[in-house]
Amino acid sequence: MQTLKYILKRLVEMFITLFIIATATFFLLAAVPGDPLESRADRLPESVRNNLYLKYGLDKPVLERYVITMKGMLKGDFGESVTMPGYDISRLLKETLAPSARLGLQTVIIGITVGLLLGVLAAMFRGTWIDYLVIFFSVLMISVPTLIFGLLLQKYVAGRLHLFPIIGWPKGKDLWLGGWKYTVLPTLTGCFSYIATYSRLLKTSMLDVVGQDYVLAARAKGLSEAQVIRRHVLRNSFIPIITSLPMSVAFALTGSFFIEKIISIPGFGRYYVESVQSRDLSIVLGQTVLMAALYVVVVFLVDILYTLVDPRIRLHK
Amino acid sequence: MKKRLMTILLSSVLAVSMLAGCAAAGAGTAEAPAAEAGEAAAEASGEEVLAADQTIQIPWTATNFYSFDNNANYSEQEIQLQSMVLEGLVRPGVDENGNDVLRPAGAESWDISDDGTVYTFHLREYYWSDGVQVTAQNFVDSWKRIGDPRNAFDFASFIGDIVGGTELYTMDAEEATDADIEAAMDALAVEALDDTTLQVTLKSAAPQFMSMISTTYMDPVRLDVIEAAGDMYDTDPSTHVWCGPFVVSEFIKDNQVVLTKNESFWDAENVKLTEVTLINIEEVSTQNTMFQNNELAALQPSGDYVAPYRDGTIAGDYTTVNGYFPNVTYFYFNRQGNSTSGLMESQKIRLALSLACNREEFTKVIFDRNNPAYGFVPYGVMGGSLNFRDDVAEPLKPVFDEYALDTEKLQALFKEGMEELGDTRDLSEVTLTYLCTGDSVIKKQQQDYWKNVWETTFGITVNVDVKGDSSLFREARNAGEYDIGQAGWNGDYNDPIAFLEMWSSHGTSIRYSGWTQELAAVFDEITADLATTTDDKAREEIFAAAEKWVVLDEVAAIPYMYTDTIICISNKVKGIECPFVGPRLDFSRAYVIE
Amino acid sequence: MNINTNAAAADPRFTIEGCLDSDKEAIARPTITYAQDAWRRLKKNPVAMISLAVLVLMVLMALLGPVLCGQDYIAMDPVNKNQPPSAEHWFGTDLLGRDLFARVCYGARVSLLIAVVCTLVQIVVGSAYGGIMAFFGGWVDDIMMRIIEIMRSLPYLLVVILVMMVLGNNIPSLLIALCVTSWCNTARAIRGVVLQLKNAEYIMAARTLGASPGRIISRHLIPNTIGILILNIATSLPNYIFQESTLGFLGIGLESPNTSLGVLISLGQASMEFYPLQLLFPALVLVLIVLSFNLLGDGLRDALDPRLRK
Repeated sequence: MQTLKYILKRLVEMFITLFIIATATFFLLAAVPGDPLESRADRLPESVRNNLYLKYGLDKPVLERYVITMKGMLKGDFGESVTMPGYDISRLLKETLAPSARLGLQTVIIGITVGLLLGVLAAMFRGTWIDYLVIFFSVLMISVPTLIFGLLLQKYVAGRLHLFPIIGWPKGKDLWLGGWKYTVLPTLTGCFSYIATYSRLLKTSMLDVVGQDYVLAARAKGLSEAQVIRRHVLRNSFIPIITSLPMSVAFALTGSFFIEKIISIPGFGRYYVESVQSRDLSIVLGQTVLMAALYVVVVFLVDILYTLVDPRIRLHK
Repeated sequence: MKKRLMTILLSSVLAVSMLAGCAAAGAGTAEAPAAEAGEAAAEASGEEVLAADQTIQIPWTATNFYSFDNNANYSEQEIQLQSMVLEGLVRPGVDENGNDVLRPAGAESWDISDDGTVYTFHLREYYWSDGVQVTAQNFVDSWKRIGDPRNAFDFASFIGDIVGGTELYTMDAEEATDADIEAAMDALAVEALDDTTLQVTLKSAAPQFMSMISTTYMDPVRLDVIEAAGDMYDTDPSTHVWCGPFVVSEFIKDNQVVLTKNESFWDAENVKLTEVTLINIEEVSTQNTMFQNNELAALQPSGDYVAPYRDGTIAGDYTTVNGYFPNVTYFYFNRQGNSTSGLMESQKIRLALSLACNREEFTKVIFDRNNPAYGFVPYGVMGGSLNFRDDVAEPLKPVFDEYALDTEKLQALFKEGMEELGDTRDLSEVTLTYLCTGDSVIKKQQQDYWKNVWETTFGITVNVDVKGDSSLFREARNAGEYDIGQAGWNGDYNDPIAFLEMWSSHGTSIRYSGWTQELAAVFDEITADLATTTDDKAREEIFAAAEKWVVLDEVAAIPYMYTDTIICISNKVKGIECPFVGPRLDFSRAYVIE
Repeated sequence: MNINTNAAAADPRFTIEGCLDSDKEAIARPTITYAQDAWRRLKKNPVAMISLAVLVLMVLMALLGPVLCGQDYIAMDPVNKNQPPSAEHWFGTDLLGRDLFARVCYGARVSLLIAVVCTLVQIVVGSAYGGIMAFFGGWVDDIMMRIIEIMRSLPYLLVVILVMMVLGNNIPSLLIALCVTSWCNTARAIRGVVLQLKNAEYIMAARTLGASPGRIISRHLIPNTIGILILNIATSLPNYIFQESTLGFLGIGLESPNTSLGVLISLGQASMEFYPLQLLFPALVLVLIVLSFNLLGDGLRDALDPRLRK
């Protein structure tokens, strides 16, 4: 009962959070000088220009537009894109979300798994060459921009060795499962930054835990090193990792901007930057709310996870 | 008239990775030598065996593709696609001597009356992909539709030479009633005499008319299809029917479009390719890798890739075409009387700024390609049968050579201009604002370069005002918060007027480039005789006078570069044509060999 | 104590040798502060000391480099573009013939400035916020958490692009843009750790002994979170440098004549196929800076963490 109440409370909070985010996004965009129709209307004669402004409601004052937008949002209608006539957020998502989501998922799963493994290695062999190797590579991975990594992999692994296709992404029935060879390079390119981040995060966190008394106690009672690491150290080291997860997951959806560009993946990432720059409210709002919703949901799941990992933190304080 | 305003913001034209197409074995001119690469010649001499796999892939900037509505198009990418899926009256091409020609396409033949005002086209029997015949009425519908002021299409002015054309497209859509507009549309002198005969009456002889109707904007449309498609006509190809060599079989927004052979095309037996993928490949280095691996039929190199491909020092089985492109890139001034420095009213200052531009160094340093511009009409443009640039020397060149970048003389000229305006400041106190947008490496380099040139030549300060996006740029421009702006212009059809007309009273400069009606009136007067002149030589003289006025007498603009075209075509793919205007790459009759 | 002394004195087998009563309470080793102790231990770590040296070198180079090589980072010499390294141009020249060494030095200076300022803001604001949030818990925690959630789910790019668009492409607006939401991450991480520590026995003990919240935060919680903080700093510094460069790739970064390592790398990327050195030099400086920050961070962490003392 208590748990149910807690979940209900969280759901209401999530809804409020989303509402505030949408509001903030709306006013942030409205605060930028210039308007989204400017570039389109520039080419048009006066009369047609006025019609365009009427069509998108941009002739109305900000507050009235805000109310209209919010009402539409409640009904799931974000409005038509200003820069891509004929498109609204749902059509855009339908056509471009799948590749981005798959790429994001693959990247996050592989990146975090490998990152955590390397983190464990580095922590267990602290101060040895293994540790320094992991540090060196994680620094290298995070130092070289994704774009350059992608281009190099593309040129040598795909171009010279012919191991994988240079560009492209599975489509049709292969959209979710299949066409794996297309996804290898982009996933590899994308997961570097996750590997680097998570290996260092876990290593630090593990070193923190290793110094704790209960680890000493576990060793003292005669547990094998593997058991100590698995049962006591790892479990407790995951807390900071879990804190970082929601952002990684939410970001994975739109974070593949550069990879989508160089591998010619028909994804969703490119529209974010473009629509913000062109102040395409309906698209920006749709994407922001989607990402925020994803984020908020993952945070909620993580809070539940917290209690599983660390019994000292309880759901209802 | 409105022309294809490619790059008021200097965007597309200079972002050289626009589209890998080929362009141009220019208009029968003395053109830069086309470099032959490697074993190209040996290959060509052998017997050609058609490959089993007749599919090719071509890079194409999908993000510049906006609409499947050919009347509404304006970008180069749209023209590239439409020219492959639609068949208009005539098709631009290149003959074996490298001269631009207009080949009969939808029209088998045509007659032009002696006074050059009545055109009668005889259509061949050909069909839309749904089996309906393409009729003369489809052309009538298209031309009336493009001129309909309610649609506000960019190229409405293309019907301006037709009787009733200007009256139609300049109507105020808000003031006029629908009935008025319908009446004006009915009055447009374009008629379907029967299913296969189309007759057009022009106001006066217009030698550029054939070139204008060869564009995809003027290709036929099906009103019933448009009506059925409704809102989806622009963005959903499945609502369309086609009448060209290919049909669109797959379209992924901002990514790729797959064309497959149109079996019902009238000349289907000469269309050998079964599938062509136009694909968006953002990075030039990726394009290069793919071209090296024979995954692309053509490559338009940019940046550091230009020189090695042009000179043939990059290995590979390809042929490089290096020709002219109908483009001029220039600076314009804020002439609205409210320029930031207040100095732009002086012709001497404008001239001094123009003469300080070391165009040779700029093209060599920044691009290592393209041609320095001392006039406003690019190389390769034809005025009827005459090659304009061959006959008319660039007006700025002698003056430029006289000053020879001499800092003292240029400063003196600048000072003189200031004195005329009653400005007694020292040069070091002068600040000019150079308004631009810039997000690419190449644009940043250019901004740095010109700022440095003007600052070091005159000892003034040049404030580069880089706007974060085009909307902010337009706002600043419309508010007159600048002295100098930057633009590029692509000619849509092959005639000098395509470049000069922007300075006239119905040109685009008034709206976009700080120009005023009073100034435009002077230009109108210089070119007043054009309406009654049909002789190529006489027209050329008028154009020469107008060009001299634009770049030297009035210094309306500082032209500094004509872009060129460098395209590499795989030797495995034969028969790709690169017309001077029209699609960058016509692969309708291309084929792949073993 | 007394008993022992007496016992020793009573036993004839033991004699007291030179222990004056006044010396009884003296501590044999000199007292050293926490910082001195950390520094002593850091000195014993060769990797960390090398990193420190490299870092100092890089900072010196960023500050003094242009003076040393006598070249200006803006002056163009188009005739000598894309030159390989020479006595005159140590790193060669870029595509406008500007001296690459001077540019790299200036770029490193800007990048370091951005990284240091942003990190400082992030750490200070983030740990204060996170600490307060976790320590007080309850509704304070709830409200502050909501604020973080909103800040963090506002996509970073949205905020950055809009700030840059409104304020222009210069260093101050870049700093603001990068700092606006950055502290949320730190705050969350700190909150996580503090929540964990809050239930630790020594905190409970301190609380029982009547220590004020301020004392507990500053004396117990902060020192114990130093590991996370240092990791945060070590990740944030390079991250800022890279966020800035990503903005450059997106076309919303710093504008000329300002430059930074990120801008130089994105310029170098454009010509990496033909002039790889133009990419390599700024990238190398960047990797060196980032790597030494990381290794030094690791060393510092070991040195500062009382639990890892050997």
